[in-house]
Amino acid sequence: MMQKNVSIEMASAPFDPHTALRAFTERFPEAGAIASFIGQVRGERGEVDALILDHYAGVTESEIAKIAEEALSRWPLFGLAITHRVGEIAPGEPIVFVAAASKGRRAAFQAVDFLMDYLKSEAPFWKKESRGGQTQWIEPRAEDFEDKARWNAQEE
Amino acid sequence: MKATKLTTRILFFGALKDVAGGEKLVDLPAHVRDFSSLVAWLSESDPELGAALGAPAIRFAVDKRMIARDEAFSNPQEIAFMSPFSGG
Repeated sequence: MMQKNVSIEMASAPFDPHTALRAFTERFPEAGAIASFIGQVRGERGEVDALILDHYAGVTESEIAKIAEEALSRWPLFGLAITHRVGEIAPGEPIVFVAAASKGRRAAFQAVDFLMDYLKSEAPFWKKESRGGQTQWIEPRAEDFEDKARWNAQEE
Repeated sequence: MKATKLTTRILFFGALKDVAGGEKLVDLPAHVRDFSSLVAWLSESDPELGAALGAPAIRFAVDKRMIARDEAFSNPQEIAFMSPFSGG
């Protein structure tokens, strides 16, 4: 279902984004620019024990694939990589890794920015925070929707 | 005897999961064929859940495909109600 130049991975255990970035870079020697982003769980001065990420197996992957397709249609890209953690994630651990390869830097920067905005509010993930043994759902913030809306203004 | 009715599994994601108290296995009556009729039917036994499911931000999937609220479905095996997404 996925194009060969796009990799989408749901990781249920800690992953190393640096290994993922090295592998991605080596796949696209013809690219002049690789941009990447790592999101990690904030420490919050030790107040947060963990984040718990739920997803909808099968649906989450296909919705992310649609987001990746949209990025490929907007910018000239050699490839994309997206790894997203699910399950329980400790502070300091990576939660998301995104990389884009293109001929020049602008497309790579923008594609990564776009993918993150869409992963925040258009991919089926649900986040719960655990503090002092109590868990609470994290609702999306207004800024998350505003960030995504920035890209609509650029549609033809 | 009528043919055995198809049992539908209803899943809830995010904060909705706490409101619903977990997934449900139901035999949908024939008149339930889209989002509104399903929410109305579920409200009969649980008005609080019905109100939560009807909120505008709730997304909806049938047989692992996200669909619009006015799209009709038939013989669904799996239905999902989803709270607003918060990824990344």
